[in-house]
Amino acid sequence: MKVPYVKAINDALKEEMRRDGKIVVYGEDVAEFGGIFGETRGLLEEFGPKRVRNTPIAETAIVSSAVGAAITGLRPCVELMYADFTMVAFTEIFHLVGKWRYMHGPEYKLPLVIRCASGASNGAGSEHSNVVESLFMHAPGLTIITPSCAYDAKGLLKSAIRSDNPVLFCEPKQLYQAKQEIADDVYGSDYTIPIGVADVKRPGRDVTLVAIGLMVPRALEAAEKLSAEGIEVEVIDPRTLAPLDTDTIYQSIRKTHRAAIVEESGKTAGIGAELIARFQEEQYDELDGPVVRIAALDVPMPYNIPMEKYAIPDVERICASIRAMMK
Amino acid sequence: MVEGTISEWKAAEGALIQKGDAIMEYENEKNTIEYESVHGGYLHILEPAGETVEVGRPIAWVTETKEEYDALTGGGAPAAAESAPAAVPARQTAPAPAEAPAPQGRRHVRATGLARKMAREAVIDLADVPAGSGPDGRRVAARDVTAYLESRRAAPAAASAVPAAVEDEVTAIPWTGVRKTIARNMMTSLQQSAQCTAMCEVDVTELLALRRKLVEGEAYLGCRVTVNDLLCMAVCKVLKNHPTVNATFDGKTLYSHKHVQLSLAVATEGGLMVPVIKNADTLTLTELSLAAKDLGRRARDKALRNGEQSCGTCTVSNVGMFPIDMSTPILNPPEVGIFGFGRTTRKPGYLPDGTLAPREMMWVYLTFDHRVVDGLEAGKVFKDLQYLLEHPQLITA
Repeated sequence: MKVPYVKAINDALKEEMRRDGKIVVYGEDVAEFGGIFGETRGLLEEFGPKRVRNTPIAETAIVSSAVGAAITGLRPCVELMYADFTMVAFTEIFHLVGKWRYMHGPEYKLPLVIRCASGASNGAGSEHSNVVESLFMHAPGLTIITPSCAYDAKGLLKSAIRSDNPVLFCEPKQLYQAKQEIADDVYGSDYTIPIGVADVKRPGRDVTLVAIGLMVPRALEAAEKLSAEGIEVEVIDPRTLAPLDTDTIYQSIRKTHRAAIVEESGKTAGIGAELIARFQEEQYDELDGPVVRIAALDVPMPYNIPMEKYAIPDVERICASIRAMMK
Repeated sequence: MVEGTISEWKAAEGALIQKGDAIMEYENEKNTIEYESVHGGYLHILEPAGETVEVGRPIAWVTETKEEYDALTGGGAPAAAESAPAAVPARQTAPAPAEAPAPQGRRHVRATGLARKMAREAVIDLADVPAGSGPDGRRVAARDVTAYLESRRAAPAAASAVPAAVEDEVTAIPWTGVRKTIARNMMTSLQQSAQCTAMCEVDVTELLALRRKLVEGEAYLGCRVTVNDLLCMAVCKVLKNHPTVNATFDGKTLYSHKHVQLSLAVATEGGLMVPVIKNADTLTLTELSLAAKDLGRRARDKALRNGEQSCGTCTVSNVGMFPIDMSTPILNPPEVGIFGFGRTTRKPGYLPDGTLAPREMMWVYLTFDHRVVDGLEAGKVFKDLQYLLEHPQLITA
């Protein structure tokens, strides 16, 4: 069946809530409205107002109360709506969520998932279009997951909910309606995808292209185009940014000897910056040229839609960057 | 001593060693020396055998516990606080030799990490590889190295079209340790002094006769006297009368010695060794003979002790066992004279009464530093030496 990304999120939440009564979902507009992207649709009806509830527009309260709920026995899966709003709860996510398991000893578990919708979405403007993974990659103790397709989204959200460690779960807005063909028996099989395992989305011998979130489908399209020109791109989706599966990426680099990273966040101090630093530290002898970052422009995201599209890497820019590497 | 070459690790990586264990053997400029560990613990080797290491650079760690050793070898940084680096002891065994000229500054080659790795593995110099990659075509990338290696492989293939091409085999021998020092000393000697060699043929018939009598008395003397012992004894006697030849010279001052510190050139498999018989002029013939034998044997066994190759005042080099009449030996700086003795040949010679008779003739030669020894002095030395050798009873008198 054709599964939209948002349905995969919705089904993962439902299946997990049926499995474990300790799972609660709350956030802005998640109950009656079912989430602004429809991710929590039907939860209130099935699980009732004790387990599914709306909150005020107070992200600080959402996250800090969820931390308290998590260490005292519940398994909250809260939603912050736009990823930009993680900033309002930055102290809570950076200090409490990431560090408390380390600070307060082994008797405290922190089975908390913070979901957010990230990235640009047709003119949402610069305060509602951010991609925040790189900000939180700097926070020790956080697990950060960004699935790029429905299959991964379902399997990874289930693993995130089952994890006793706190997870920041980023869902690229532009992917919510993206559909993926998944066999019915697989989709309904209660599968999970392990945290910290990257996926080779397309094998290739010439360039390792690490793509994240929204950039994965674009990287795959670019790889298809480049293949016609004789350049075989290996597209790797880390899926989990922390912990990062460097084994899979390095195995690819040792094969292709060239690497690029494509991400929706800004170039400066972005995800690619960290990955490149690791590549050159740990794979220097395998690299046959500079590692290339393909990223959003370092600008406040324009609300003007053509300009917004220009600011974010598209298939053509990915192709041009890879071609330049092969010269 | 400025550097040493590790000849052998006698303890294995990771071994538990005791304080005082001989864990390593190294060559300095003159000798091979055992290194005894000053710490007990687990050994982690940093510099493998064959490496030449400057004095003061750590060559190994010794950790007190196995845990520290594991931490050290598990990729972590050396646990400096708990362990002490064992360095080659900086014992001065001789006046420090002149510093070798600084290596030429290496030109930085723009190359990728992979190209560098490939060059390292193929043992080629990246500077030889034509660059053709990068935005301006000036960076050496893997494909440039591959192209270069292929062109190198192609080149001999083209040459093999020439008939009967014999493939040569070249062995690269690193010139280190004792060998390196000999090379440097030889070159320095020729570059920095005015060497002149003079020679004369001496009738040693009587000397050989005397030696035969001394050999007959071997049991009485307690040693088998050699021709070389007699020659050394004669040189000592001559030097006592010619103090400017029994001397060292630093370019400014001539240091003339009261006693003869006689350097013996000893050829060994490991290279030329020059042990010194201290105060050779004060020794009796048997004492000198025993001393020369002992030093020669230990030079060949690489068992000379520190200081036994330094502070000579004149050298004797005997090539009489080879079919060499004479050579022009190179001075052993800062000495100003080196005596050489060639082979003995039976030749017809005139006796004082004018009759012809077979005589044992030997070439005697002397390289002297013409900056301090002039022809007149050298002439007088030869006159005395010839007289002594032809009247050998005076040698031991």
